[in-house]
Amino acid sequence: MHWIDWTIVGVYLAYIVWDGLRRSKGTREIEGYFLANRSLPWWAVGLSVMATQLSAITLVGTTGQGAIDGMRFIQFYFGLPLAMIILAVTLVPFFHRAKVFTAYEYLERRFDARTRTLTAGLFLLSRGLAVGVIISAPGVILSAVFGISLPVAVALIGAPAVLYTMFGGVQAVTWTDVKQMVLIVFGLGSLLVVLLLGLPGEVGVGNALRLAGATGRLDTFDFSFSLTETYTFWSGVIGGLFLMLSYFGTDQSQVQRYLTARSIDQARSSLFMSAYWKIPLQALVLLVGIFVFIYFLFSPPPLLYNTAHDAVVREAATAEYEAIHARYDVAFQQRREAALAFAQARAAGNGDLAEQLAQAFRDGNQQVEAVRGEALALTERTTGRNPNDVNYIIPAFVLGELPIILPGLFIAAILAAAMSSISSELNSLSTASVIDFYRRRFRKQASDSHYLLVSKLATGFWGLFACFVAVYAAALGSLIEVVNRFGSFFYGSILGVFLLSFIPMARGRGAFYGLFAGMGSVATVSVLAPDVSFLWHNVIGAVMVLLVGTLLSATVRDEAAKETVGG
Amino acid sequence: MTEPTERTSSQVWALGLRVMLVQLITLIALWGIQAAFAGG
Repeated sequence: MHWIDWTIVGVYLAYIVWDGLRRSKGTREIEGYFLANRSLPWWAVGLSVMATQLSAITLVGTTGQGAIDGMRFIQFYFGLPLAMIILAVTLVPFFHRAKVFTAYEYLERRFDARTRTLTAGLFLLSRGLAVGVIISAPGVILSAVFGISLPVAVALIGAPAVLYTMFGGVQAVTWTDVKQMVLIVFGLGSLLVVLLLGLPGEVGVGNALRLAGATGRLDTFDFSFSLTETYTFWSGVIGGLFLMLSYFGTDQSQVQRYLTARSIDQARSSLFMSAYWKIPLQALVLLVGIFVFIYFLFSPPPLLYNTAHDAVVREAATAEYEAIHARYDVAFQQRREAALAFAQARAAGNGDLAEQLAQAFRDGNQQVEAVRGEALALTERTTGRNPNDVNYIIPAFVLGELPIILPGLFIAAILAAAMSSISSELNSLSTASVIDFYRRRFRKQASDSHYLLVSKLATGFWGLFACFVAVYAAALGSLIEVVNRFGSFFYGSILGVFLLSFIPMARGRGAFYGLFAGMGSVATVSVLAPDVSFLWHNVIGAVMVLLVGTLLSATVRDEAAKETVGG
Repeated sequence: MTEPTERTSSQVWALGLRVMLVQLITLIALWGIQAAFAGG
């Protein structure tokens, strides 16, 4: 990368840290540190909600997925708008009126202390590990792309976020999120504009989309009903609805965002921002990936997008690598010629010929993919590692093909996406640690300055823990998958407990044991039917908690009903 | 300055309906793109 690009990245990091740290001036008590004294405007909260959800791996991995697989991933988010509306009507006003710091605090008021402790503990365990993965995934990519060691890459991503979150609290988190979200959208938009302007003259946007369509990359909708497929319309609408209800309604990293809003309506508006913009934003992310695919129809793409793997394979299996590369070049040329001929036939208005050439283009594309499949298999044999390089497509394009300034801008956007997720997660981990455990269990009465100090230390601790996990998660590649699967075991079950709180007859015992029944049923399904998509785990867990929780509650006579939703 | 009155539940549902309508238009647009460019 050019020194000007490094300067852009350096200046950006310095600015974000400075901007975050200056927010610490107004933070004197924990209500300010964790909730900004419930004073933030809806648009800032809304952007923070979106920035928290959009991690670096979304920016890099999802664009790569767009290049490889097209638009179908967007179905994952089809349940989100309805989830936001349901939350805006139900949990948002309740959390605000209850003046809670954490979502789990409410569960003690409604049920009992052990239900609160269990859910908060599950949150700390899963999110603590998940932040490590959030840092690790882009860390591995940056370390491979720039040839720096993983601990350095992790420090580059983690240290600024830990620093400003620790000292600036939620004010720093939210206001830096706002800027980071703007940078991310600007970065993506610039990339799309550059890609559109770079199309060959005879191709144009219309023909580019036709070429993408010919390979199925514009196929957005799959209406088949399948429990094993994650990216279908029904998995997205039903499974996605439960996942989004759980994530935005019960996960402290998101609940805390809208608890900072200055009123109930402002909190609702912040969620509606995601409801309006998440699907279009995701479409933009995927479309960037699709246009990178189009770009590499006309410019020679790397055989292996992961430059670190490419160097190893080239060195260790030179003859085989070069033979594959030679066939790759031939296949690329054939596909390129077919694509150009297709565009020319369309321009000449020759529909029949264009149809034939579309078929030739499809055959050429299959050939390119087949040869690349051989290269990936060779990579696996040579390195002994997962050869999947979908996360390296966009970095390869940005660093290898774009003129100066744009690579710096995009690397800054990747760091922004990582830091905006990490900071919110650390802030919420600290809140749950201090409010649900330290203040609840160990030190019930202390001064605000004491709690503020402990909160900052807790943020620092979780930051170090996350960086530590990030370095080791990368070494144990499968750990990332374990962490992701671990979360899906109880995500739906926690949602089930919150849904149970809407049922007036529900009691603490039902909630506590119902939670175990939910988690147990998800664990059973994942063992007996491992092919069932994790999106359905949320539905199974939530429904099981509701059923078992209601039945168990019916057996309890001596326990009085506590505070209910809307009460 | 006084705080504006909080929206009623039905007003929130009405806003939600508007959100869903916009999403429906978005999905129809995506469907249109899929249909228009499918097959090359």
